[in-house]
Parts: sequence; structure tokens; C-alpha cells
Amino acid sequence: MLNEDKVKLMARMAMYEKKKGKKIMKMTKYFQGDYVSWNMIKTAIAATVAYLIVAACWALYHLEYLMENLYTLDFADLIKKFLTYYVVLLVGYLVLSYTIYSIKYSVSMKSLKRFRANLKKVKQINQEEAKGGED
Amino acid sequence: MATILVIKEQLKRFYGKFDVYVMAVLKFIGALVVLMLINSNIGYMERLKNPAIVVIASLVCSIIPVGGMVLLCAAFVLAHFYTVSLELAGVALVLFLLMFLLYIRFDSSLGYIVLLTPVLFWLKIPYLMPLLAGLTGGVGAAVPAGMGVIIYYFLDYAKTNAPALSNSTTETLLQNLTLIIDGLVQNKLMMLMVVAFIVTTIIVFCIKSLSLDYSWPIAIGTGMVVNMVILLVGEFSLDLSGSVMGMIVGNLIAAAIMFVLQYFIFAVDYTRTEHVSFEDDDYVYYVKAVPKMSVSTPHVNVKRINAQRTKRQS
Repeated sequence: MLNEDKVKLMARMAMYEKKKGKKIMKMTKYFQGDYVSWNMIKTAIAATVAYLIVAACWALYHLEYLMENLYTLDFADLIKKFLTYYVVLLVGYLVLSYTIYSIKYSVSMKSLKRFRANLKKVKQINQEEAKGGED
Repeated sequence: MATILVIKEQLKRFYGKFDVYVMAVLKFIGALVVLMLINSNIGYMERLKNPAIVVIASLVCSIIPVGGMVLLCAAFVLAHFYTVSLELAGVALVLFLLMFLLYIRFDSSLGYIVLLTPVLFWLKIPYLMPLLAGLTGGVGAAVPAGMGVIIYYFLDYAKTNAPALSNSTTETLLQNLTLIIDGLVQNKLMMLMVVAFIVTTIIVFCIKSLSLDYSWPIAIGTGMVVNMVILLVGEFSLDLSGSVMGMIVGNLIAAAIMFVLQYFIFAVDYTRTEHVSFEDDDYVYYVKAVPKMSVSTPHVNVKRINAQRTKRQS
């Protein structure tokens, strides 16, 4: 016999799994701290690459000036500026990514909790059915 | 009014039934329009202007996610630029890379806004973008909307200056690069538009999220006014020679289009029919879950449907 309640529950769970389950299942492999820090590392790499690209563009744009003043340039000052901007960008991005990924994780875990509760219910129904079959 | 509601209801039912095909067809048409616009505006590579290639690329877009479509369009732009000048292609590539690294990596679901902004500029309804982004995307949508503006002005710059940049040698390479970057960085109108779009998007989103009656129409109206004020003040203070009349009319048209779109598309709950399959010990289930049509929404318009029905019955 088909159990209507069970089919309803399982259909809901299957829909959840199909829609966003895959991503969330991946997340469950990590603790929150690990998930957030792993993504912060990725963000740091992306921000570094982006900064280097911008710096390279700036250097190309001012190449003539740089070449002409190669010997009189204050390189220490230049490098100091270069690093300051880098640190500012990096810190900004890390704070941003920490916030974003923490929220993402906790929201996903909440929806996963509901999924697990449904799973429990299905299990219960199964057990009851098995009992009924034995009687 | 009643006919509009009937159309709305029919739209909903149609979408619920054939959502897979509707999405594919919409994506195909969207890709076709975008690629044709790209080809007509910066179509320097003759091979890509071949209608067969455009149609095939659009067909591919109809089955891949929207992110793929954005990538494909970026590839089209790069190929066109590469044909004219290496410098243009280089700057475009850097621009795309930066946008990906700094924003789209976080939230790829809003990448389509970057693509849609230049398209709306080409279609002469750019002011629709901040309203659309604020109403559908949320606060985060302000960033891709601003990026889209930069892309459009870059493409526009390329369109007008491509002949001058085309004869590049190793000696002029650096000069051309400086020219392109100057064209981008010193474009005051672009900066003004970026600011206007970002601010408008955020304001529209904030008003939309208030728990007010009619928060959507109020958001659209306020967004339009804010956009106009920023552009007006900006144009006067930066001494830009833009057509004020054109800007005001453009904003009014954008708000009107947004009202129509909001009524037909965004106000309708397109909960989709879902097909899922799963199994337990005894059965394999193939379930088609059809969302229930809820009639009793607390909306004035619904009362009118009921009134008409009773009339018919009596």
C-alpha cells in the first residue's frame, strides 16, 4: 500500500535535494570555521590576483614616467604605498567574505535541519509500517 | 482590468505547465538579441556575424545556465576586439577578469545584470536597469549594475575609437593602451551613471523591502525620481552636455515599462511544477508536484474576479 504522508514528505525532500541539496551537502563536509576560512583563503587569492592586475595596469599606464625617472624615483615610498593599498583591499575583502560565507553557512544549515527532521519522520513511518506488516 | 487579470492568470497557468520550454525559448530569444546587438555595435570579426553562428550560439545558450551565456557574450566581445586591436582586447580582458575576481565569484547568480545593462543601453532604456536590479536582485545587485555601466561605456568608447586604434604596431602599443585607459577613467558621464545606478538600486531595494502597502510601485516611483535628481545635479555640476529632456523622458519610459513588467511578471507567483523521482524499499516513485493555485490572496483585484463570477452566475 502507498502511504500518502510518506510520499508527500519524500517528494518535498526530493525537491529540496534537487534544488539546493547538492551545494548544501558539500557544505556539510566542513565545520563552519573550516568552510568560512577555506572560502576566505580563496577570496584572498582572488583579491591578490585582482590587485596585481590593477597594479600592472597602473605601471603600464605610467611606464614612460617610470622609465624617465628610474634613477630618481623613491622606490621605498612606492613599495610602501603599494603594500598599504594591498593590505587595505585585502582586509576589506576578507571582512566582507567572512560575513557573506558565515551567513551562507548558517542559512544552509537551518534548511538542512528541516530536511533532517523530515528524514526522521519518514524513518518513523517506515518503522511503523514494518511493525504493521509483522502483526 | 478584468481582461488583464485573465491574461495574468493564463500566463501563470501556461508557465506552470510548460516552464522548461518557456525558459529555454526565453533564453534563446535573449541570447539572440544580445548577440545581434553585440554584432551590430562592435561587429568587427566578420566570421562571428554569420547568422548561422549567431543562431547556433543562441541555441547553446538556451540549454546552459545564464552564467554560461554571460561567458559566451564576453568571448564574442573579446573576439571582435581582437580583430581590431590587441590593446582593446587586452583592456577588455582585464576588465572582465577584475569583475569576475572582485564580484561575480561571490555571487554568480547576479552576473546576468552585468550583461543586461549594456543591452538596455543599446535598446535606449538604460534607466530601467536600476529599477529592475533593485526590485529583483537586492542590495548586492547594485555592484553588477555599476559594472554593467562601465562595460557599456567601454564598448561605446571602442565603437567610436576602433578605427584610430586599429593600426597598432609595437611602438604605438603603449600609446594606445594609455588612450584606452584615459577614455575609460576620464569619462565623467560614466562615473555619474555608475553612481546614479548604484544609489538608485539601493534605494529601490530598501523601499521595496519595507512592509508598506504598495511598496513596489512606491519603490519604482521613488527610484525614478532619485535617478533623475542625481543625473540632473551631476550633469549641471560636472558641466556635461547631456539632453535633460531625453533623460527625463527616458526615466519616465523606464518607470512605465517597470510598472508593466512588475504587474505581469514579478507580481505573479511562478511556483513551478516539479518532477522528482525517489524510491523506498517497495516502490520507485515518479512524482509530479503541481503547486496549488491559491485564490484567496488578500489583494483587492481578486475581489473583482469573484464579483464578475457571481454576475455571470446570476
